[in-house]
Amino acid sequence: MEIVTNSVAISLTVIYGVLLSGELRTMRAGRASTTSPWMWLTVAIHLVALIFRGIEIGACPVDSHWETLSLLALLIVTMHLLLASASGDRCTLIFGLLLTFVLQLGSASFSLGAQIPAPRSIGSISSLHAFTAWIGVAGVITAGIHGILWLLLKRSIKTSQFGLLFTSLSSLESLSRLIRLATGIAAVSLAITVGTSVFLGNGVDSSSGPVTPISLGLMGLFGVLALVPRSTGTVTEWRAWCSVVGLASVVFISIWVISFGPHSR
Amino acid sequence: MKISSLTLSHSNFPIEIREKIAINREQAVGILSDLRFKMAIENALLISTCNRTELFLATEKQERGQEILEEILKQWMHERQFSIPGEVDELILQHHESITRLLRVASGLESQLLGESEILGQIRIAIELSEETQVAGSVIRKLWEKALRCGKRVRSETSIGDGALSLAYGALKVAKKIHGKVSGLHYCIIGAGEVAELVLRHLQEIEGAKITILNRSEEHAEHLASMFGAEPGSLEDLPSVLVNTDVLISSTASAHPIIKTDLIRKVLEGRPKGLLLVDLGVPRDIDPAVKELPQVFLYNLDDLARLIQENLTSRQEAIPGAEEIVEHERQQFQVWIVNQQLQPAILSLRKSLEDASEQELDLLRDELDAETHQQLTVLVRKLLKRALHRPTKEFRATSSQWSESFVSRIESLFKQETFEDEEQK
Repeated sequence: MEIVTNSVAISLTVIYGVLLSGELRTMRAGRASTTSPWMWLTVAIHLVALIFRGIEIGACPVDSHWETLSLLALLIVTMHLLLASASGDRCTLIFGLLLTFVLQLGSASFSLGAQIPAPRSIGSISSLHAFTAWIGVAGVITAGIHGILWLLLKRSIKTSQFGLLFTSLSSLESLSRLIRLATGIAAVSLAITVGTSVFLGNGVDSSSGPVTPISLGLMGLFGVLALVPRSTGTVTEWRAWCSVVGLASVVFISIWVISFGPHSR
Repeated sequence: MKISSLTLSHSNFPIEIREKIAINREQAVGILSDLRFKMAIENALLISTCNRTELFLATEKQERGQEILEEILKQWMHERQFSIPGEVDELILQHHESITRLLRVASGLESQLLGESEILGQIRIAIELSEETQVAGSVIRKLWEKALRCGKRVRSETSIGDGALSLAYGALKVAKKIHGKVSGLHYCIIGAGEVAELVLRHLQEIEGAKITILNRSEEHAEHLASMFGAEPGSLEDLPSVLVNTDVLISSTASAHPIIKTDLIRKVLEGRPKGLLLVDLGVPRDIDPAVKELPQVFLYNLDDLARLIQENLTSRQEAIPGAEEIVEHERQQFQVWIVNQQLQPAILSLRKSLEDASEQELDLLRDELDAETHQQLTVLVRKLLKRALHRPTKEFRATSSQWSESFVSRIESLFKQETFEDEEQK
C-alpha cells in the first residue's frame, strides 16, 4: 500500500512540475486565453487519489503531514483554476502552480520518509470541519498571493518599473477582482469551519493553542473583506494588505499544526 | 560652406533640464532673427520639440559657426539657468557630424521613440520659421530637403516605423495595466495642439471611449472635438471633469504646471478608482509632486519612452539599414555642397573660354557676312559646350578628391587669365 501511495504522490509531483514548466513557457510566449485541459485532468486525478484515501480511512484525509499537504496543494490549484476560469485571467495561475508543486513535493517527501499510520476514523462533522478549514486556508493563501501581486504591480506602475511583474501580470483591476473572489471563498469556508466547531463542542479550546483564536480572527477579517464592496482604490489596497496579513497568519497556523498536530483529531 | 550644429536632446539631458531649454515659436523667431540681423547668418535651422533643441548653421568658415553656437549656448545657460554636464564644445558638432545628425534626427534614429514619424512634421515647421526670418538660404534648404527625403526613405525602405509605437500607445498600455481595459474609459485631453491631435487619433480607434478636450481657448477645443467626436470644454471645467476621468493626457505649451497637487488631492476624495495622469508637455504641465498621492499614477515623456523601448526589437533590427540610407544621403549632400564650392571655378573656366571665343568671333565680324558669322557663332558655342561637358561632369563627379586650395586655385587662375586678356586688349 505504501508503494502505491508513494508512487501516486511522486507522480503527482512530477506532473505538477511539468505543468509548471509548461505554464512558464506559455507565459514567455504570450498569455494563452484558456487553461490547459491537462491541468483539469491532473486535478481530477489528484482528487480521485485523495477520495480513495478518504474512503480508505473513512474520513477527510488530514491525519498526516503528507495527506494535509497534498489536500492543500489540490485545494490551492483548484482555487487558482476556478479563479482563472471565472475571470478569464490566468496571469496568476503560475504562482498557484508553483505553490502547489512545492506543497506536493513536501507531501511526497513526507510520504517517503514516514511509516504510513493505520487509518483512524474521525466523525463526519470533524471531517467537514477539517475540510472547510483547509478550503479556508487555501482561500486565504490564494487571496494573500493575489494581494502581494496587486501591491507589487501597483508599486511597479507607480514607480514606472517595467520588469517581469509589469509585463506578466494583467491589471490592478483584474487582480482586485480575484482578491475579492478569494476572500469571499475563504470567508464562507471559515464560517462553516467555525460553525461546525460548535457541533464538535470544542469551540475555543485552550488545548488548540493560538489556532482557534487566529482562525476566528481570520474569519471575522475575511468576512468583513468579503462584505465590503470593491469600490475604491483605497479599499482594494486595504483588502490586499489584509490578505497578506491573512497569508502570514495561515503560514503560522500551518507551522503550528505541522509541529503540534491538528486539533480536529 | 560648412555646417555646424548645437545639440541639446533627450540623450544627454533629462526632462528637468529639457523643459528649461524648450523654445516656443516666438522665442525661435527671436533667435533666428538675431542670427540674421545681428550676425548676418543666411542659413539656419532651429528644431525645437519636447525632446530636443537643435540649431544648425551654415557658414563660410567652420570656426565662425562654432563660435556663434558657443555664444548662443552660453547665453541660454545664463538666461535659462541650467548647466551642462561636460564641456560646451561637446554639444557643438562639426560639418560632417552635423549633416549626419540632421539626417539621423529626420530618420527617427535619434528619437526617444525609435522611428517615430512626428519629427518629420516638426522639421517642416522648422524650415517655415527659417523662411519667416530669412535664414532659409540655399545650403540649409538643400540640407533640409535631404533630411526630409532621408526620413521618408528610411521609413519606407526599412521597418523602423513598423508597429504601434507612440506615446499614446505607451499611455494606453499603462491605462490597461491599471483599469484592465482601454475601452469604455473616460479620457480627458488637455491642450489642442499637434500632440493632442496625434493622441486623439489613437483614442478615436478605441471602442466606447468617452473623450473630453479641455483647452485654454475653447474655440480650438471645439474644433478638435468636432473632428474626433469628443466633448469640448475650458480649463475651468478641469476639477469637475477629473472626478469621472480615468486617464488624463496633457500636452500644453504652458510654461508652468497647470495641474497642481491640491487640485488632484481634492479630486481624489470624490472619485472611485485610480487616476492615470500622462504629462506630454515640455515644460511639464503636471506638478511632479502629484506622483506622491495614493491612487495617482503619473507618467511623463521619459517614463513612456522607457516603457516603449521594451518593445523595440523589430525597430532596432532596422537600424543598420536606416544608417546605410543616412550615409548615402549624407554623401549625396556632401557632393552637392562641394559642387557648390566648385561652381565658381567651373563658371570661371566656362566664362573665360566663352569670353575668348566671343572676342575671336568679334574680330571676324567684319570679314564674314552676317549669316556665316551667325552660323560660326552657333558652331563655336556648340563646340565649346561639347568640349566642356565631359571635363565639367568629371570634375563634379570627383569633387570630393579636390582640395579647397586646388579648387580656389582653378577659380583664380581663370579669373586672372580673363583679367590679363582684358588688359592685353
